Amino acid sequence: MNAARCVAIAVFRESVRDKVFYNLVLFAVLLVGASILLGQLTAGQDVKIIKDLGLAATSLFGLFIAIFVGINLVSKEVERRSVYPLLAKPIRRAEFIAGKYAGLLLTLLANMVVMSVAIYVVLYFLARNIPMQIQTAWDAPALDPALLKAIFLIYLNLAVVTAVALFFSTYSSPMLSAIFTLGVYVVGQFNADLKHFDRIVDSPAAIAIARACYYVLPDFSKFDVKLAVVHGLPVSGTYLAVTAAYAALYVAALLFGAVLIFSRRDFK
Amino acid sequence: MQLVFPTSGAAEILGRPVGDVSVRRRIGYLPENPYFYDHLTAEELLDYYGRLFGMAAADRRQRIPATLDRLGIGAERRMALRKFSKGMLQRVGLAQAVLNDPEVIFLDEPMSGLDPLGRRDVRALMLELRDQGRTIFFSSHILSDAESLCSQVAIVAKGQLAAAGRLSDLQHFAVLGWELVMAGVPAEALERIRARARRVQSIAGDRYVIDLPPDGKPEEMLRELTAAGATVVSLNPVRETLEELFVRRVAEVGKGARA
Repeated sequence: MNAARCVAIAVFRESVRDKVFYNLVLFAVLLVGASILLGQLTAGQDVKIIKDLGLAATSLFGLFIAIFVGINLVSKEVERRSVYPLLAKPIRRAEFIAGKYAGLLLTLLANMVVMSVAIYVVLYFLARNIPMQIQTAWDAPALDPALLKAIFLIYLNLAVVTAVALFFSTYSSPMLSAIFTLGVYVVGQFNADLKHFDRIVDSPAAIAIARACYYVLPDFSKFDVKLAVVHGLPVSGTYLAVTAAYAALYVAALLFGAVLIFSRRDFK
Repeated sequence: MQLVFPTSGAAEILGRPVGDVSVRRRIGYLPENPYFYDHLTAEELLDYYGRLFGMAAADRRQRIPATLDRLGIGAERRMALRKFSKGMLQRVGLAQAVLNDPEVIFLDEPMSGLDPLGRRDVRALMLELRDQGRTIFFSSHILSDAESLCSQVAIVAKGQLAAAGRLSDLQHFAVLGWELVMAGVPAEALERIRARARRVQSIAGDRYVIDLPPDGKPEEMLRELTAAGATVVSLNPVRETLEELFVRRVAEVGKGARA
């Protein structure tokens, strides 16, 4: 386990030095810029928009990191052959994969913490000058702790996407991995529609494929509670727990597959 | 190292199957043209590998600077590896290969990319490690390196083991001839010995190389020529070099493959 931890720390350090910082700066600029622009709009409306925008941006920027760091996690090491001296150390290939995954999760976590703080700070300044009577009429308070529920689910979503990217990264090039991962992500967004594909298409083959995709691919729409949270609708703890278990199942299966493939791979 | 898996058979190292991860604590490995992480410094890289070897913090604090010193990596150790030249990377590679004080060390083309000074340093390091009783397994296309360093060699041609064993057992250690270099040889003396030599060749100045067969009795010739007024520059027995051995064995493999 020590070996996996070392790899995880190395991944975290590399991504911090390379990309994540710029990502965060961009996020902060975007959010602050948007809040200034929206300052002109009706009070109450801008808070909702900032929440929506903030959560969407958190999800999108996290997705960038998950995919573009994720696809390189293994393939870059193999391509540049830094994997040779590494695997000659006392480390199992499974530990290598686990470490890579954990490292990126850690990076994403740090990223999300900073983004969440940024959202709350912007919301605080936005709501500061608005009288309390008006604020109580809103669907949800400005500094709504329920935002964290949405952020938690976004994080789970990214954990699954990272596992998909890592899985592809163990055997294909970064370019292909990116395309595959993005493909899985996009199809996963509309997963629920695949189940009812027969309502719009006649071809039995297409319906069968859609059904197969529905059962195999993760349903990413389950992780999206942005709308509910922004409008102050409840998101139950049970829902969070079930969705977390759902994500864990996918992550476990994908990591298992990644280890299986990577453990059999010949280098040279 | 389990970077490639065998199609059949099994191998052991230090008495353990090669698949045993824990045995790698006692092994050092330098890949050919090593590449490490651009964003790390040499120190950080060794620290990372030191942790993977399970070295304690105090141990790492002591071993890492000592190893970098030994490989001649000075102030550059705090620079990102992306700024390193090929030769410097090779030194870093050697540093990581000996960091864990390994019993067995595998070096794949350790001299490649090094300048003459670097090669001398690496040769000295290898001899030092040998004298400490470590086993070094290294591959090279530079046969003179292998000849001057190895106690045992193996020649691999077309993926097949063409020869293996002690150099002294593989080489034709019998004298293949004598190479005598003389200066100031009078012309008539030169004519007299020409028939007995395989070859007489003029080199710089008034010097001549006289190539004698194995039974050419160099002592007699020396006496005769010095009596005629010539002076001795050198006398050397000619033995098969590793290069000749290599060419011979590889040709044999080639013939075997065609037959």
